[in-house]
Amino acid sequence: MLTLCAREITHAYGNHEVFRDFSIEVAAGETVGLVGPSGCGKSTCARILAGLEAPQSGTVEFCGTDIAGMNGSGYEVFRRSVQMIFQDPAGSFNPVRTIGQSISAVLRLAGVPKAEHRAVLVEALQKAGLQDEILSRYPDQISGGQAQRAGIVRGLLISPSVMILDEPTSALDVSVQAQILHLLKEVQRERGISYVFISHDTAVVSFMADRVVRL
Amino acid sequence: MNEILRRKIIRYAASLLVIVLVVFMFPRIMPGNPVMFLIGEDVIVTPEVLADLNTRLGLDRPIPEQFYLFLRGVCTGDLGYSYHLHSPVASLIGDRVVWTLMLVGTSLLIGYAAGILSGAWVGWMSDRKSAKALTGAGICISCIPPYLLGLILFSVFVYRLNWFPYKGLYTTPDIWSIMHHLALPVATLALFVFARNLLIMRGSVLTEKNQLYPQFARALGVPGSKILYGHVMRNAILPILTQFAIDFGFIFSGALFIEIIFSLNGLGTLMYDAIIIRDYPVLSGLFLVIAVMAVLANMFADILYGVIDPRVGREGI
Repeated sequence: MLTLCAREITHAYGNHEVFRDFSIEVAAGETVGLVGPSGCGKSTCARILAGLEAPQSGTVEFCGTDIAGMNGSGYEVFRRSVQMIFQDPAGSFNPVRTIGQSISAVLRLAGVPKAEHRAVLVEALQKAGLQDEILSRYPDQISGGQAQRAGIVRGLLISPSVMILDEPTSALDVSVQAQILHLLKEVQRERGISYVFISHDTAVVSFMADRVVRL
Repeated sequence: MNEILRRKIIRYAASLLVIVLVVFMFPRIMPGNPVMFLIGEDVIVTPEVLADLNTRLGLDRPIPEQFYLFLRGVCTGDLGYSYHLHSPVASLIGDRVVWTLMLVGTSLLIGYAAGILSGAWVGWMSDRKSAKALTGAGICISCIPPYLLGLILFSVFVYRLNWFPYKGLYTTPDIWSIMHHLALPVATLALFVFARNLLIMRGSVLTEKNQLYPQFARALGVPGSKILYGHVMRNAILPILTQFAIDFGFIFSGALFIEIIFSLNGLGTLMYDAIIIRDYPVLSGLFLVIAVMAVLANMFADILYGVIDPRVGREGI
């Protein structure tokens, strides 16, 4: 069953066309690798798939419904079902909030009672191989690997069905890369999440992806 | 006490000491007799009176002792004596500073609140025509110096429309009369402060909204207004605080011009009169009071910066 798909999307910044008539389909539980040279619009495509930008033409569908026509509860379900992990892990956290405050905000959105926040957070962090002491730290006080793990934990707490991973390991060194990739595989096995895995590293993509789409 | 806070307080206390030293040295390094400087250059006195004043003012004592006495005087609220106005400087300033603080305080409060909120909205909705129009208006207003803005408003609302009184702080000593008299001066200064803050906040929000953390919040489905006022604003407001620290002296001097235009009996008119009659003790006292307020404003902004952005406090800047 198709979870997320883009049909013949075109996008341009001013007169500069980034891509034209691009299509991609993501089925439940699969990992689709999205590759292409630098500047070909991989990150733009990721933001369009996540609904953060609108394509100039074409449609993005979630579970068979065009997201452009979604509103109310349908849009809310889409928002929580499709999450994005960015290349700069620390940058995706608010710099003036602690990691704990940023992740707790997601738990509030997910409707978890405040009294249970700490226990849920500690358990989620332990699964990702993180100590709970990072909860009181600010994004610039933790390493890139810790920030990316914390970002994945945060993204997962809202129980998405699709995660768009925009070069999630390219800012990390090789040993940390491997840990993050294994963590993502493990999460997928446990929860059956679909991934759109964007990278310029073909070795990483072939390790992660069930199939590869070129932009 | 927090080590960083302690260091900041020491830094600002040192700045205050330098300011007091400058005020102390000012009449003593000027060419001529410091007594003439203090009583007024156009006053004719006999050499005997001059010698007597020299002794009474303590100017015959060693400089370190003079500085100690001056510092002790400043700490106990003694800012000298105005021989032109026959009154202690502290009392002259004390009678008027409340009005100036009321004018500046109200203007800053309105200007900052309106400028920050509107600037944040304009930056967030930068593609909207209304946001572009407000930005254009902000640029135009910020280019007009406060005294010219005051004259324009005075000409329109006092001369032509006769909506506001042309001078004074009140007709009858009640709150409505005071508000009626202060409305236009406050509007002038607040408009200027509003325009500057609108532009600063707009630029800051434009930068912040393209960061990853607001995008992540959007991906979670957090409403736009909550992302703006709950996430982006705290980061975007930091340049406003920096500007507040830099601008305070400028805004305060702008308020002095406004007081002169609207004939308000605040520090501005006191300073204007002191300049005209060359009343140096009053000018020195005013300089000291304004400098102290500017230093305190800087200290407030500095401490608040550390509270809003914990990275600053940690790095001990």
